[in-house]
Amino acid sequence: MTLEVVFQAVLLGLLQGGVYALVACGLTLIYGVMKIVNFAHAEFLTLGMYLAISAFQLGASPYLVAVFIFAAVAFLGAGLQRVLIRPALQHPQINQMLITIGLSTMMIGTMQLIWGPNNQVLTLAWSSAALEFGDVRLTYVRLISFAIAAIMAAAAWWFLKHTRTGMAMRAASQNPLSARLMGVDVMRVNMITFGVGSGLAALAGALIAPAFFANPTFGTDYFILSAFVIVVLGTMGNFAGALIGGLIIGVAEGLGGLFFGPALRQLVSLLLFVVVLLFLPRGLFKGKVS
Amino acid sequence: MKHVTNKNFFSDWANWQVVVALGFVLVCGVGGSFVDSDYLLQIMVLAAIYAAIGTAWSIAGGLSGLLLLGYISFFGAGAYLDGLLFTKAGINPWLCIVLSFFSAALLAWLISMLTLRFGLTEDYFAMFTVALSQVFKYILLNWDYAGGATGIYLTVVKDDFWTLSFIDRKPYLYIALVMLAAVILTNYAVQKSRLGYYLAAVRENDQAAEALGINVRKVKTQSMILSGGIAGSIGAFYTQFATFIDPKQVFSLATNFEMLLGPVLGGRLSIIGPVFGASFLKPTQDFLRGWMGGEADAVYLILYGAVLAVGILFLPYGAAHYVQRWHRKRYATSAQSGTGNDKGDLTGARK
Repeated sequence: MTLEVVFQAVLLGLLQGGVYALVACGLTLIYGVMKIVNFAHAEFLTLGMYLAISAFQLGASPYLVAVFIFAAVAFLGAGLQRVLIRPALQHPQINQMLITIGLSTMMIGTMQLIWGPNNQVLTLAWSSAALEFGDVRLTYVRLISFAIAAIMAAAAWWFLKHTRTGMAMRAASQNPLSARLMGVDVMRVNMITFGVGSGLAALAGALIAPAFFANPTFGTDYFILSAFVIVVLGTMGNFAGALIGGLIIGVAEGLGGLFFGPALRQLVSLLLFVVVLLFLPRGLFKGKVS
Repeated sequence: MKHVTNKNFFSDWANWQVVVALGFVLVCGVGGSFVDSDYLLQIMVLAAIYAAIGTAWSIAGGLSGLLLLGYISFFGAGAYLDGLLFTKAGINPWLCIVLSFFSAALLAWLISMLTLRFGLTEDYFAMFTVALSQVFKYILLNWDYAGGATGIYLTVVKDDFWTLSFIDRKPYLYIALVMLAAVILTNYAVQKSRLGYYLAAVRENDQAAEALGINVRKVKTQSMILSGGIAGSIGAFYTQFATFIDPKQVFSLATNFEMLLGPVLGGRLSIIGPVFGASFLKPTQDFLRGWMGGEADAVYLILYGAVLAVGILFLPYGAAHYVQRWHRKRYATSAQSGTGNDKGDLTGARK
């Protein structure tokens, strides 16, 4: 195993990590504000992928429609939150988790009904074109998805720091009761947060559509566990933590896949999860939220 | 309960429930003896297995208020232990069921020690248990000695009670119902015991319970051991009944959530909830699946997801909550006692 191979795995992991970060920061926002472990999160990513594929089949560039996909799924997410999650906010936690699991099942079924159970692929003319230096080879689709993910994460960061709604979201995640006493409409913030979080996941899905096969359970099979590892590693509810955790887990999985083979890749991230939960349950940021 | 003067045995909610639940099991047994269709018997056995699993889960997931979301680890561990011991070492299946109890209980003890020691509670505990069940799945998928992804097959050649192998499905039904009755009695005994009262105190307010001298960690661990061990035994029985197991099936997350559906929709703190919940939901699900053709059917998934989400929204404390309300009115004159039956128990809710 040459150094180039390891280097390649690290870089690929980093690129993958950028997408992970985008998925995870949506999840962590939702947890931070609503304290809900959202098991349906990955389904929004799959939905984003399918929407990008359908848009592409209609002749649109998947990157240009990504913004519209973000907006559409954000509205869908907000609506679903209003109907399914909000009424359960005062119910036992196990109920909330099972509701998101029910939502996930429903979304998988719906996507299967619309797009069928088989793999679908979005092939751009330059899908396999790559940037090469030495033995290291990085496809442009991966590079572009990483770049856009980074820009979107930065935009979300700016939104949280500098807009009224963003500040309300941070306030609600730090202390919902005080936020409410300060005149923040926490219910509305919850809805917006769930929408933005789902939208970010869908955006990530649109970005990776050219690089993966889409099928109804794609998100659950490949993304949800990694997303949870990242969110816990970066402290549940911590936005910056999710971004950094995303890169770390991306690289860790890349190297894990390289050394232990792709069959054990999932096991690597699962064991990482168990270890992180046991030894770093409060994450890298020691329980600090946003 | 010396201080309570119960004139009527049935005025106690737990007593009433255990009699109703055991009566139902008896009715199923008698009714089952007239059923000849293997398909129907298969569904009945599965329903009994799910009911038993749900009743066992509610000891830890309901009575102690633990967010035990990844419960299938214990079931799967028991199923695999039985499969391996039976096919590789030829150990008697009845003994396997007992051994599965102890090994799953050991697993539950280990999980409790790890999570409670490292302070994993609520969401973190839930995610830990889910992740762990998937760790087991991937280990077994890659473990060739245990059959890897192809799993383990048992061959049934002749009827033999001693080796728990029957060509007919009916004996399995009787055994499953006896197991279910045993689990119901265990749950009842826990509710009526000192442990049950401790668990109720811990569930309501663990800090207050701790202050009153209850060893919170210990009673939670005890409930996990009991709950996990029973799931292990049921898993072992399942292997003997299904004669085929693989990691994707006995450690499936979808199955895991199906198993929790009965107790959650039926009522986590009750005895009748898990029993009737699973007995109603599991067959409905199997018929739907059979009718629509296939587990992966899109319409089935949508329907199932909708029942799960909407059902829980409308029955946050389970259907048994309403039965209990009726029961309370019916026996309003007598004194109330028992645990795990407070109206509108908000244990799991965020404070």
